[in-house]
Amino acid sequence: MAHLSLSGVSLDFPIYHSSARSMRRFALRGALGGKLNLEGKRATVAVLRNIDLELRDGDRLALIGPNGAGKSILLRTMAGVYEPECGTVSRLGRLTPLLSHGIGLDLEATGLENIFLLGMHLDLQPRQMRPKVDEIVEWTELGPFMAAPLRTYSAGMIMRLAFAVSTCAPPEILLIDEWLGLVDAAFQQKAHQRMAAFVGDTSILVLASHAPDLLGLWCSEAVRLEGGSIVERGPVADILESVGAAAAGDAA
Amino acid sequence: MSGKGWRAAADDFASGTSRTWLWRALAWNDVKHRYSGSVLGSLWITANIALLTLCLTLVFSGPLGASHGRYAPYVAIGLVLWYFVQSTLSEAPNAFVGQAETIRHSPLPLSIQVLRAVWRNILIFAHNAVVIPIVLVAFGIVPHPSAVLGLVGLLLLSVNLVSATVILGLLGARFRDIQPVMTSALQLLFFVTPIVWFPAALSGREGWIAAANPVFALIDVVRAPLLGDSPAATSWPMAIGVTIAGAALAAAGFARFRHRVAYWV
Repeated sequence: MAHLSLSGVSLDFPIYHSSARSMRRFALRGALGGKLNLEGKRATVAVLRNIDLELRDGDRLALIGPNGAGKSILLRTMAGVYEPECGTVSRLGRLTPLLSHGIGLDLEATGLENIFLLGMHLDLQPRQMRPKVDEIVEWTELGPFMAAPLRTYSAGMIMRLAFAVSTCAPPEILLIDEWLGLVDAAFQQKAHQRMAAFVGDTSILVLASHAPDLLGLWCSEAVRLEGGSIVERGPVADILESVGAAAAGDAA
Repeated sequence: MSGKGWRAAADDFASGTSRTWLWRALAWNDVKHRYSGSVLGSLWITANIALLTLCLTLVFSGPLGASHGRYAPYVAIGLVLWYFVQSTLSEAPNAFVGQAETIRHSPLPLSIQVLRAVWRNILIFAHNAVVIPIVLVAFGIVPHPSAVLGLVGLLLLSVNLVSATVILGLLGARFRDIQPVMTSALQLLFFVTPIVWFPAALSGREGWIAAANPVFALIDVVRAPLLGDSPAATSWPMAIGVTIAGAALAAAGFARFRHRVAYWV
Protein backbone atom coordinates (compact mmCIF):
# COMPACT_ATOMS: atom_id res chain seq x y z
CA MET A 1 0.00 0.00 0.00
CA ALA A 2 1.93 2.97 -1.27
CA HIS A 3 0.77 6.43 -0.48
CA LEU A 4 1.97 9.96 -1.13
CA SER A 5 0.17 12.99 0.13
CA LEU A 6 0.81 16.72 0.28
CA SER A 7 -1.46 19.01 2.16
CA GLY A 8 -1.25 22.78 2.14
CA VAL A 9 2.38 22.69 1.00
CA SER A 10 3.98 26.06 0.33
CA LEU A 11 7.65 26.59 -0.28
CA ASP A 12 9.72 29.74 -0.47
CA PHE A 13 13.08 29.50 -2.10
CA PRO A 14 15.80 31.70 -0.62
CA ILE A 15 17.83 33.66 -3.13
CA TYR A 16 21.51 34.06 -2.41
CA HIS A 17 23.31 36.51 -4.59
CA SER A 18 27.06 36.53 -4.46
CA SER A 19 27.48 39.19 -1.75
CA ALA A 20 25.19 37.29 0.61
CA ARG A 21 27.55 34.35 0.30
CA SER A 22 30.52 36.31 1.53
CA MET A 23 31.43 36.02 5.16
CA ARG A 24 33.14 39.41 5.08
CA ARG A 25 29.94 41.16 4.09
CA PHE A 26 28.07 39.21 6.66
CA ALA A 27 30.48 40.20 9.42
CA LEU A 28 30.61 43.84 8.30
CA ARG A 29 26.84 44.07 8.39
CA GLY A 30 27.07 43.31 12.10
CA ALA A 31 30.16 45.41 12.79
CA LEU A 32 28.82 48.49 11.06
CA GLY A 33 25.74 48.58 13.27
CA GLY A 34 23.46 47.06 10.69
CA LYS A 35 20.99 44.62 12.10
CA LEU A 36 22.62 41.22 12.12
CA ASN A 37 19.80 39.14 10.79
CA LEU A 38 20.35 35.49 10.11
CA GLU A 39 16.98 34.61 8.69
CA GLY A 40 14.62 37.57 8.70
CA LYS A 41 15.67 39.64 5.73
CA ARG A 42 16.33 36.83 3.31
CA ALA A 43 15.08 37.46 -0.19
CA THR A 44 12.82 34.61 -1.20
CA VAL A 45 10.85 33.53 -4.21
CA ALA A 46 7.56 31.74 -3.75
CA VAL A 47 7.90 28.53 -5.71
CA LEU A 48 5.02 26.42 -4.42
CA ARG A 49 1.70 27.73 -3.22
CA ASN A 50 -0.75 25.70 -1.21
CA ILE A 51 -0.38 22.37 -2.96
CA ASP A 52 -2.83 19.61 -2.05
CA LEU A 53 -2.33 16.20 -3.63
CA GLU A 54 -3.33 12.73 -2.60
CA LEU A 55 -1.84 9.79 -4.50
CA ARG A 56 -2.64 6.13 -3.98
CA ASP A 57 -1.80 2.77 -5.54
CA GLY A 58 -2.21 2.84 -9.30
CA ASP A 59 -2.09 6.62 -9.63
CA ARG A 60 -0.16 7.92 -12.63
CA LEU A 61 0.15 11.67 -12.38
CA ALA A 62 1.55 14.02 -15.01
CA LEU A 63 2.90 17.43 -14.03
CA ILE A 64 2.32 19.92 -16.81
CA GLY A 65 3.35 23.54 -16.92
CA PRO A 66 5.75 26.01 -18.48
CA ASN A 67 9.38 26.33 -17.37
CA GLY A 68 9.56 27.77 -13.88
CA ALA A 69 6.04 26.65 -12.97
CA GLY A 70 7.47 24.61 -10.09
CA LYS A 71 7.38 21.09 -11.54
CA SER A 72 10.91 20.14 -10.53
CA ILE A 73 10.62 21.81 -7.13
CA LEU A 74 7.37 19.97 -6.51
CA LEU A 75 9.02 16.65 -7.38
CA ARG A 76 11.94 17.39 -5.07
CA THR A 77 9.57 18.35 -2.31
CA MET A 78 7.71 15.06 -2.83
CA ALA A 79 11.05 13.26 -2.61
CA GLY A 80 12.00 15.01 0.64
CA VAL A 81 14.90 17.08 -0.67
CA TYR A 82 13.17 20.28 0.41
CA GLU A 83 11.24 20.36 3.62
CA PRO A 84 8.35 22.82 3.32
CA GLU A 85 8.01 25.35 6.11
CA CYS A 86 4.28 25.27 5.62
CA GLY A 87 2.14 22.18 5.11
CA THR A 88 3.00 18.50 5.35
CA VAL A 89 4.28 15.80 3.02
CA SER A 90 3.84 12.16 3.92
CA ARG A 91 5.08 9.16 2.05
CA LEU A 92 4.56 5.46 2.52
CA GLY A 93 6.55 2.99 0.46
CA ARG A 94 10.01 2.85 -1.06
CA LEU A 95 10.53 5.99 -3.10
CA THR A 96 12.93 6.40 -6.01
CA PRO A 97 13.53 9.89 -7.31
CA LEU A 98 14.89 10.01 -10.86
CA LEU A 99 15.31 13.75 -10.89
CA SER A 100 18.72 14.11 -12.44
CA HIS A 101 20.55 11.66 -14.61
CA GLY A 102 23.26 9.74 -12.90
CA ILE A 103 23.40 10.84 -9.27
CA GLY A 104 26.57 9.29 -7.91
CA LEU A 105 28.41 8.78 -11.18
CA ASP A 106 32.18 8.94 -10.83
CA LEU A 107 34.08 9.56 -14.06
CA GLU A 108 37.26 8.02 -12.66
CA ALA A 109 35.55 4.79 -11.63
CA THR A 110 34.98 1.92 -14.04
CA GLY A 111 31.62 1.13 -15.63
CA LEU A 112 31.14 -1.77 -13.26
CA GLU A 113 31.99 0.31 -10.20
CA ASN A 114 29.56 2.94 -11.40
CA ILE A 115 26.75 0.41 -11.54
CA PHE A 116 27.23 -0.08 -7.81
CA LEU A 117 27.73 3.65 -7.12
CA LEU A 118 24.51 4.55 -8.94
CA GLY A 119 22.70 1.76 -7.16
CA MET A 120 23.94 2.96 -3.77
CA HIS A 121 22.63 6.45 -4.46
CA LEU A 122 19.25 4.85 -5.11
CA ASP A 123 19.62 3.26 -1.70
CA LEU A 124 20.32 -0.20 -3.12
CA GLN A 125 23.00 -2.05 -1.21
CA PRO A 126 25.82 -3.75 -3.12
CA ARG A 127 24.42 -7.15 -2.15
CA GLN A 128 21.06 -6.13 -3.68
CA MET A 129 22.80 -4.91 -6.83
CA ARG A 130 24.98 -7.95 -7.44
CA PRO A 131 22.22 -10.19 -8.86
CA LYS A 132 21.18 -7.40 -11.23
CA VAL A 133 24.58 -6.61 -12.70
CA ASP A 134 24.52 -9.18 -15.52
CA GLU A 135 21.13 -8.04 -16.74
CA ILE A 136 22.21 -4.38 -16.67
CA VAL A 137 25.43 -5.03 -18.55
CA GLU A 138 23.61 -7.08 -21.15
CA TRP A 139 20.91 -4.48 -21.66
CA THR A 140 23.37 -1.62 -22.08
CA GLU A 141 25.46 -3.65 -24.59
CA LEU A 142 28.50 -2.11 -22.91
CA GLY A 143 30.09 -5.40 -21.83
CA PRO A 144 33.55 -4.75 -23.31
CA PHE A 145 33.71 -1.32 -21.61
CA MET A 146 32.83 -2.41 -18.09
CA ALA A 147 36.44 -2.39 -16.90
CA ALA A 148 37.20 1.01 -18.44
CA PRO A 149 36.84 4.27 -16.51
CA LEU A 150 33.65 6.18 -17.21
CA ARG A 151 35.54 9.18 -18.58
CA THR A 152 36.35 7.13 -21.67
CA TYR A 153 32.62 6.66 -22.40
CA SER A 154 30.61 8.81 -24.78
CA ALA A 155 27.74 10.83 -23.32
CA GLY A 156 25.27 8.40 -24.89
CA MET A 157 27.01 5.41 -23.29
CA ILE A 158 26.93 7.07 -19.87
CA MET A 159 23.22 7.77 -20.26
CA ARG A 160 22.55 4.17 -21.20
CA LEU A 161 24.34 2.94 -18.11
CA ALA A 162 22.61 5.45 -15.83
CA PHE A 163 19.25 4.63 -17.33
CA ALA A 164 19.69 0.88 -17.01
CA VAL A 165 20.69 1.12 -13.34
CA SER A 166 17.95 3.63 -12.51
CA THR A 167 15.34 1.28 -13.93
CA CYS A 168 16.63 -1.96 -12.44
CA ALA A 169 14.55 -2.06 -9.27
CA PRO A 170 10.95 -0.80 -9.43
CA PRO A 171 10.10 1.20 -6.31
CA GLU A 172 6.64 1.76 -4.92
CA ILE A 173 6.72 5.49 -5.56
CA LEU A 174 8.51 6.70 -8.65
CA LEU A 175 9.23 10.37 -9.33
CA ILE A 176 10.65 11.28 -12.71
CA ASP A 177 11.83 14.65 -13.94
CA GLU A 178 12.15 14.27 -17.66
CA TRP A 179 15.58 13.02 -18.65
CA LEU A 180 14.72 10.11 -20.86
CA GLY A 181 15.15 12.13 -24.04
CA LEU A 182 18.89 12.00 -23.54
CA VAL A 183 19.23 8.32 -24.40
CA ASP A 184 20.57 8.12 -27.96
CA ALA A 185 18.14 7.53 -30.81
CA ALA A 186 19.18 3.96 -31.49
CA PHE A 187 18.32 3.12 -27.91
CA GLN A 188 15.04 5.04 -27.67
CA GLN A 189 12.91 2.05 -28.64
CA LYS A 190 14.71 -0.27 -26.27
CA ALA A 191 14.55 2.33 -23.51
CA HIS A 192 10.80 2.75 -23.93
CA GLN A 193 10.25 -0.97 -23.58
CA ARG A 194 12.35 -1.09 -20.43
CA MET A 195 10.58 1.97 -19.09
CA ALA A 196 7.17 0.41 -19.71
CA ALA A 197 8.06 -2.65 -17.66
CA PHE A 198 9.61 -0.52 -14.93
CA VAL A 199 6.70 1.89 -14.64
CA GLY A 200 4.23 -0.99 -14.82
CA ASP A 201 5.73 -2.45 -11.66
CA THR A 202 5.52 0.72 -9.57
CA SER A 203 2.46 1.67 -7.58
CA ILE A 204 2.60 5.43 -7.91
CA LEU A 205 4.16 7.44 -10.71
CA VAL A 206 4.65 11.19 -10.89
CA LEU A 207 6.16 12.39 -14.15
CA ALA A 208 7.14 15.89 -15.22
CA SER A 209 7.70 16.31 -18.92
CA HIS A 210 7.23 18.65 -21.83
CA ALA A 211 6.56 15.80 -24.23
CA PRO A 212 2.78 15.34 -24.64
CA ASP A 213 3.06 11.87 -26.17
CA LEU A 214 5.19 10.66 -23.25
CA LEU A 215 2.71 12.04 -20.72
CA GLY A 216 -0.20 10.55 -22.61
CA LEU A 217 1.55 7.20 -22.70
CA TRP A 218 2.48 6.84 -19.03
CA CYS A 219 -0.04 8.93 -17.16
CA SER A 220 -3.77 8.85 -16.62
CA GLU A 221 -4.26 11.99 -14.61
CA ALA A 222 -2.60 15.40 -14.81
CA VAL A 223 -2.23 18.61 -12.89
CA ARG A 224 -1.34 21.88 -14.53
CA LEU A 225 1.01 24.08 -12.54
CA GLU A 226 1.42 27.78 -12.98
CA GLY A 227 3.44 30.04 -10.72
CA GLY A 228 3.71 27.30 -8.13
CA SER A 229 -0.01 26.63 -7.83
CA ILE A 230 -2.20 23.88 -9.21
CA VAL A 231 -4.51 25.65 -11.64
CA GLU A 232 -6.17 22.67 -13.26
CA ARG A 233 -6.57 19.01 -12.59
CA GLY A 234 -8.15 16.21 -14.58
CA PRO A 235 -7.61 13.37 -17.05
CA VAL A 236 -4.31 13.79 -18.85
CA ALA A 237 -5.93 14.08 -22.30
CA ASP A 238 -8.20 16.94 -21.18
CA ILE A 239 -5.39 18.90 -19.57
CA LEU A 240 -3.12 18.44 -22.56
CA GLU A 241 -5.96 19.63 -24.76
CA SER A 242 -6.58 22.76 -22.70
CA VAL A 243 -2.84 23.53 -22.63
CA GLY A 244 -2.74 23.03 -26.40
CA ALA A 245 -5.79 25.27 -26.86
CA ALA A 246 -4.21 27.98 -24.69
CA ALA A 247 -0.98 27.77 -26.71
CA ALA A 248 -2.96 27.98 -29.95
CA GLY A 249 -4.87 30.94 -28.56
CA ASP A 250 -1.61 32.71 -27.72
CA ALA A 251 -0.29 32.03 -31.18
CA ALA A 252 -3.45 33.39 -32.83
CA MET B 1 14.65 26.17 18.08
CA SER B 2 11.77 23.87 17.35
CA GLY B 3 11.63 20.27 18.41
CA LYS B 4 10.92 19.42 14.79
CA GLY B 5 14.42 20.47 13.73
CA TRP B 6 16.04 18.37 16.45
CA ARG B 7 13.95 15.34 15.62
CA ALA B 8 14.64 15.62 11.90
CA ALA B 9 18.36 16.05 12.59
CA ALA B 10 18.39 13.02 14.88
CA ASP B 11 16.55 10.96 12.23
CA ASP B 12 19.01 12.10 9.59
CA PHE B 13 21.97 11.16 11.77
CA ALA B 14 20.50 7.80 12.78
CA SER B 15 19.56 6.76 9.25
CA GLY B 16 22.87 8.08 7.90
CA THR B 17 24.97 6.27 10.49
CA SER B 18 23.09 3.01 10.00
CA ARG B 19 23.90 3.03 6.27
CA THR B 20 27.46 1.92 7.02
CA TRP B 21 27.64 0.17 3.66
CA LEU B 22 26.96 3.46 1.91
CA TRP B 23 29.37 5.94 3.51
CA ARG B 24 32.16 3.43 3.78
CA ALA B 25 31.86 2.45 0.13
CA LEU B 26 31.70 6.08 -0.99
CA ALA B 27 34.75 6.97 1.11
CA TRP B 28 36.64 4.00 -0.25
CA ASN B 29 35.74 4.99 -3.79
CA ASP B 30 36.95 8.55 -3.10
CA VAL B 31 40.33 7.29 -1.86
CA LYS B 32 40.69 4.77 -4.63
CA HIS B 33 40.25 7.25 -7.46
CA ARG B 34 41.90 10.26 -5.92
CA TYR B 35 45.32 8.75 -6.50
CA SER B 36 44.68 6.94 -9.74
CA GLY B 37 47.26 7.98 -12.29
CA SER B 38 50.10 8.61 -9.84
CA VAL B 39 52.84 6.03 -9.56
CA LEU B 40 53.11 5.83 -5.78
CA GLY B 41 49.43 6.66 -5.19
CA SER B 42 48.65 7.46 -1.60
CA LEU B 43 52.15 6.27 -0.67
CA TRP B 44 53.22 9.79 -1.62
CA ILE B 45 51.77 11.15 1.59
CA THR B 46 53.35 8.41 3.68
CA ALA B 47 56.69 8.92 1.98
CA ASN B 48 56.39 12.64 2.51
CA ILE B 49 55.80 12.18 6.23
CA ALA B 50 58.76 9.80 6.50
CA LEU B 51 61.03 12.22 4.66
CA LEU B 52 59.83 15.19 6.70
CA THR B 53 60.48 13.23 9.90
CA LEU B 54 64.02 12.48 8.77
CA CYS B 55 64.80 16.10 7.85
CA LEU B 56 63.18 17.62 10.92
CA THR B 57 65.06 15.18 13.15
CA LEU B 58 68.40 16.09 11.60
CA VAL B 59 67.73 19.83 11.82
CA PHE B 60 65.72 20.34 15.01
CA SER B 61 66.64 17.64 17.50
CA GLY B 62 69.89 19.53 18.26
CA PRO B 63 68.38 23.00 18.83
CA LEU B 64 65.50 21.46 20.81
CA GLY B 65 67.98 19.57 22.98
CA ALA B 66 66.52 16.13 22.36
CA SER B 67 68.23 12.98 21.16
CA HIS B 68 67.29 11.58 17.75
CA GLY B 69 65.70 8.63 19.53
CA ARG B 70 63.48 10.98 21.50
CA TYR B 71 62.64 13.46 18.78
CA ALA B 72 62.08 11.24 15.71
CA PRO B 73 59.19 9.13 17.10
CA TYR B 74 57.66 12.25 18.66
CA VAL B 75 57.64 14.15 15.41
CA ALA B 76 56.65 11.15 13.24
CA ILE B 77 53.53 10.41 15.29
CA GLY B 78 52.81 14.14 15.53
CA LEU B 79 52.96 14.57 11.76
CA VAL B 80 50.81 11.53 11.04
CA LEU B 81 48.14 12.87 13.42
CA TRP B 82 48.49 16.41 12.14
CA TYR B 83 48.05 15.28 8.57
CA PHE B 84 44.83 13.53 9.63
CA VAL B 85 43.53 16.70 11.33
CA GLN B 86 44.68 19.04 8.60
CA SER B 87 43.29 17.10 5.63
CA THR B 88 39.95 16.47 7.35
CA LEU B 89 39.52 20.12 8.35
CA SER B 90 40.58 21.47 4.98
CA GLU B 91 38.10 19.23 3.18
CA ALA B 92 35.29 19.87 5.67
CA PRO B 93 33.90 23.12 4.15
CA ASN B 94 33.40 21.15 0.96
CA ALA B 95 31.56 18.24 2.62
CA PHE B 96 28.11 19.37 1.42
CA VAL B 97 29.02 21.74 -1.42
CA GLY B 98 31.09 19.04 -3.10
CA GLN B 99 28.03 16.77 -3.20
CA ALA B 100 25.58 19.45 -4.35
CA GLU B 101 24.21 17.38 -7.21
CA THR B 102 23.31 14.50 -4.91
CA ILE B 103 21.92 16.72 -2.16
CA ARG B 104 19.68 18.65 -4.55
CA HIS B 105 18.21 15.59 -6.20
CA SER B 106 18.06 12.85 -3.63
CA PRO B 107 16.66 12.48 -0.14
CA LEU B 108 19.65 10.54 1.20
CA PRO B 109 20.54 11.72 4.72
CA LEU B 110 23.05 14.55 4.83
CA SER B 111 25.01 12.86 7.59
CA ILE B 112 26.16 10.39 4.92
CA GLN B 113 28.33 13.13 3.42
CA VAL B 114 29.90 13.95 6.80
CA LEU B 115 30.66 10.34 7.67
CA ARG B 116 32.00 9.73 4.17
CA ALA B 117 34.38 12.69 4.41
CA VAL B 118 35.70 11.67 7.84
CA TRP B 119 35.94 7.97 6.96
CA ARG B 120 37.89 8.83 3.81
CA ASN B 121 40.43 10.61 5.99
CA ILE B 122 40.48 7.77 8.50
CA LEU B 123 41.39 5.40 5.67
CA ILE B 124 44.25 7.66 4.60
CA PHE B 125 45.30 8.03 8.24
CA ALA B 126 45.37 4.25 8.65
CA HIS B 127 47.62 4.12 5.64
CA ASN B 128 50.00 6.77 6.96
CA ALA B 129 50.00 5.18 10.40
CA VAL B 130 52.36 2.46 9.16
CA VAL B 131 55.07 5.03 9.87
CA ILE B 132 54.31 4.76 13.60
CA PRO B 133 55.30 1.10 14.28
CA ILE B 134 58.29 1.49 11.97
CA VAL B 135 59.66 4.43 13.89
CA LEU B 136 58.86 2.84 17.28
CA VAL B 137 60.72 -0.33 16.31
CA ALA B 138 63.61 1.62 14.78
CA PHE B 139 64.22 3.48 18.03
CA GLY B 140 63.53 0.51 20.26
CA ILE B 141 60.45 1.95 21.95
CA VAL B 142 58.38 -0.86 23.48
CA PRO B 143 54.77 0.30 23.85
CA HIS B 144 53.66 0.44 27.45
CA PRO B 145 50.26 -1.14 28.30
CA SER B 146 48.99 2.43 28.71
CA ALA B 147 49.39 2.82 24.94
CA VAL B 148 45.81 1.56 24.62
CA LEU B 149 44.82 4.95 26.05
CA GLY B 150 46.13 6.32 22.78
CA LEU B 151 43.32 4.46 21.03
CA VAL B 152 40.80 6.15 23.30
CA GLY B 153 42.44 9.42 22.38
CA LEU B 154 42.18 8.54 18.69
CA LEU B 155 38.46 7.87 19.13
CA LEU B 156 38.01 11.29 20.77
CA LEU B 157 39.96 12.90 17.94
CA SER B 158 37.75 11.20 15.33
CA VAL B 159 34.55 12.24 17.09
CA ASN B 160 35.80 15.82 17.11
CA LEU B 161 36.55 15.66 13.41
CA VAL B 162 32.96 14.52 12.76
CA SER B 163 31.64 17.49 14.77
CA ALA B 164 34.03 19.86 13.01
CA THR B 165 33.02 18.55 9.59
CA VAL B 166 29.34 19.16 10.40
CA ILE B 167 30.03 22.73 11.54
CA LEU B 168 32.49 23.62 8.77
CA GLY B 169 30.36 21.82 6.18
CA LEU B 170 27.33 23.96 7.10
CA LEU B 171 29.44 27.13 7.14
CA GLY B 172 31.08 26.21 3.85
CA ALA B 173 27.69 25.67 2.22
CA ARG B 174 26.39 29.04 3.39
CA PHE B 175 29.57 31.10 2.96
CA ARG B 176 31.76 30.31 0.02
CA ASP B 177 34.82 32.06 1.46
CA ILE B 178 35.31 29.55 4.29
CA GLN B 179 37.59 27.39 2.16
CA PRO B 180 40.39 29.95 1.67
CA VAL B 181 40.06 31.03 5.31
CA MET B 182 40.64 27.42 6.38
CA THR B 183 43.83 27.13 4.37
CA SER B 184 45.48 30.01 6.17
CA ALA B 185 43.96 29.10 9.55
CA LEU B 186 45.40 25.60 9.31
CA GLN B 187 48.85 26.89 8.47
CA LEU B 188 48.74 29.14 11.51
CA LEU B 189 47.47 26.26 13.64
CA PHE B 190 50.39 24.08 12.58
CA PHE B 191 52.91 26.60 13.86
CA VAL B 192 51.25 27.35 17.20
CA THR B 193 50.58 23.69 18.03
CA PRO B 194 53.35 21.60 19.57
CA ILE B 195 53.66 19.08 16.77
CA VAL B 196 57.28 19.39 15.68
CA TRP B 197 58.31 21.18 18.89
CA PHE B 198 57.91 20.22 22.54
CA PRO B 199 55.40 22.04 24.73
CA ALA B 200 58.22 22.21 27.32
CA ALA B 201 59.85 24.77 25.03
CA LEU B 202 57.22 27.25 26.22
CA SER B 203 58.21 29.23 29.28
CA GLY B 204 55.81 29.28 32.23
CA ARG B 205 54.00 32.40 31.13
CA GLU B 206 53.52 31.08 27.59
CA GLY B 207 52.20 27.73 28.78
CA TRP B 208 48.65 28.67 27.88
CA ILE B 209 49.56 28.51 24.17
CA ALA B 210 49.57 24.72 24.40
CA ALA B 211 47.10 24.36 27.27
CA ALA B 212 44.36 26.34 25.54
CA ASN B 213 44.79 24.58 22.20
CA PRO B 214 42.26 21.76 21.75
CA VAL B 215 44.13 20.39 18.74
CA PHE B 216 47.25 19.98 20.88
CA ALA B 217 45.19 18.24 23.59
CA LEU B 218 43.74 15.80 21.07
CA ILE B 219 47.14 15.05 19.53
CA ASP B 220 48.78 14.78 22.95
CA VAL B 221 46.31 12.18 24.27
CA VAL B 222 47.11 9.93 21.31
CA ARG B 223 50.84 10.56 21.01
CA ALA B 224 52.02 10.59 24.61
CA PRO B 225 50.60 7.14 25.53
CA LEU B 226 52.14 5.61 22.39
CA LEU B 227 55.53 6.97 23.38
CA GLY B 228 55.11 5.74 26.94
CA ASP B 229 54.85 9.32 28.27
CA SER B 230 52.00 10.88 30.15
CA PRO B 231 50.10 13.64 28.40
CA ALA B 232 50.18 17.19 29.77
CA ALA B 233 47.95 17.57 32.83
CA THR B 234 45.55 19.76 30.87
CA SER B 235 45.26 17.44 27.86
CA TRP B 236 42.67 14.85 28.94
CA PRO B 237 40.27 17.38 30.51
CA MET B 238 40.61 19.61 27.45
CA ALA B 239 40.17 16.70 25.01
CA ILE B 240 37.05 15.44 26.78
CA GLY B 241 35.65 18.95 27.24
CA VAL B 242 36.10 19.93 23.60
CA THR B 243 34.53 16.64 22.48
CA ILE B 244 31.39 17.38 24.47
CA ALA B 245 31.23 21.05 23.52
CA GLY B 246 31.96 20.32 19.85
CA ALA B 247 29.33 17.61 19.64
CA ALA B 248 26.77 19.90 21.27
CA LEU B 249 27.55 22.73 18.89
CA ALA B 250 27.47 20.42 15.86
CA ALA B 251 24.13 18.94 16.97
CA ALA B 252 22.61 22.39 17.48
CA GLY B 253 23.91 23.64 14.13
CA PHE B 254 22.70 20.53 12.34
CA ALA B 255 19.25 20.76 13.92
CA ARG B 256 18.99 24.45 13.09
CA PHE B 257 20.36 24.52 9.53
CA ARG B 258 20.15 20.99 8.12
CA HIS B 259 17.00 21.65 6.10
CA ARG B 260 18.56 24.75 4.53
CA VAL B 261 21.55 22.92 3.08
CA ALA B 262 19.58 21.78 0.00
CA TYR B 263 18.97 25.49 -0.79
CA TRP B 264 22.52 26.56 -0.08
CA VAL B 265 24.55 24.08 -2.09
